[in-house]
Amino acid sequence: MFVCHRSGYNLVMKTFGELSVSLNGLSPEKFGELAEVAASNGWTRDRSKDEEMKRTGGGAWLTFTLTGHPNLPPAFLFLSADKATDKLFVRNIISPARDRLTFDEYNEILKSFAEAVLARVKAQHAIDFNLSGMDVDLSAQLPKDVYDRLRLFSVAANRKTGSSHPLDQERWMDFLIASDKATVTLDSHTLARWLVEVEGWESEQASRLAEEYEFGRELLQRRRAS
Amino acid sequence: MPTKRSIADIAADIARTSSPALVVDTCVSLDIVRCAWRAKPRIAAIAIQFIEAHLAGELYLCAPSVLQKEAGRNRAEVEGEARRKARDVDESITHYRRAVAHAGGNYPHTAAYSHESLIPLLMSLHDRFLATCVHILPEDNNKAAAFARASDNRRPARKGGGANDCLLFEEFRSLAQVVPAADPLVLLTTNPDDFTDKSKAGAVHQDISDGLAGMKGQLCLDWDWAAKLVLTAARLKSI
Repeated sequence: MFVCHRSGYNLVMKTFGELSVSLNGLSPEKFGELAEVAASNGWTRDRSKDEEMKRTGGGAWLTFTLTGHPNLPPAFLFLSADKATDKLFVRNIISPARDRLTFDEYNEILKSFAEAVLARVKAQHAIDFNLSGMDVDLSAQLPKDVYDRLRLFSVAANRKTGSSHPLDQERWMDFLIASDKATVTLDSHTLARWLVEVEGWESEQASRLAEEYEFGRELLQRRRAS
Repeated sequence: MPTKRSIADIAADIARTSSPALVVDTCVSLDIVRCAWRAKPRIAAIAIQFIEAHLAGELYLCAPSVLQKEAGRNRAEVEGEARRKARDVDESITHYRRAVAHAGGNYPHTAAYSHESLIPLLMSLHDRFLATCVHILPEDNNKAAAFARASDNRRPARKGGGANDCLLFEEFRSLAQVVPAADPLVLLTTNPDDFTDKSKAGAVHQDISDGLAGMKGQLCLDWDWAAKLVLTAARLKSI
């Protein structure tokens, strides 16, 4: 079952969010100590995992563990430092109870960490944090011309035949060419998800279109480069 | 119960026989059950060839430590889906047959075959395949390396998880480090989402290439290609 929801007037898709922490001059080690003390609501720092990462060559690392939360699965959250930007980033969250977390679970764990740990450190020190990217909105991410062509194709096309009708094919190719001209970074997986979750295409047709998109973009790139 | 052995013991086995070795992941074993509805009936034949080659000592068929658990977890769902797809075929045939009769035509296929009856056969082949594989015993160093890979979001991990895929990959890497005799040593996975880069026309993901750099192990994303690689090598060695 696919999940989509409305944000304003656009249908958007869920994705895994990004959480970054601006240290504003605080060292990662000092931040780790403060966060360890501040952690609440089931969050604790797991120094043993940090040591494991050091042993396996993982570099500077902060691991936090969530346990006993009433609604969220137990999880490990990993922060790593980017010296160039003076920031920490959440590299990943994994759960011993799941092979993969859902978008909702992942994002709720991020929010929980932000509220139960980061907000408490922020209250005492001049750090800041930013939680973003929990939605994919192609109408905002693609250039207007490209998005309009994609939308026109999707609305007008015969859903049973994909891009095979001559008129549908023309609109589809217009979109491919516009994507290439604007060198958009839309990947085929996201396109397929958008077609299914936002536009209501059958997944089989969406996969076929995504393959055509991938091949078409590759071909146009080669043509441009030659 | 399938045979379980440490990576060191598996390496010694392979060194003794100099046979090609094939490591398979969970989706590979479940492909056997899904082969008909995914229009890849040859998979069943290839699975039997792998089993026979392993039993004849011409191939070393190996499974990561998580495979049994993962296959067990997905077994009921995959079997249920395979049965539903087979029932759809049976029902479609019934509709066509009745339409032909109503239209006054002659329907030549009169045998009452239930396509659903194929599924227990495929399940049995799946179980035999798993039982034939030598299963790697989990080791702490591989678990730690897999945990590090997943936490660092390096493929085959992706955001939100993939620890089991990472363990599979780290076990394969460990094996590749200690079995210089295996020729070839192949990891067969049919999970391109985790191992390839969609933005680079499905090429093997850089994290995976980096992980296998300087090692003899190679990745294979297709049953047919894996069969060509390991069975051809096995036949050549037997001549």
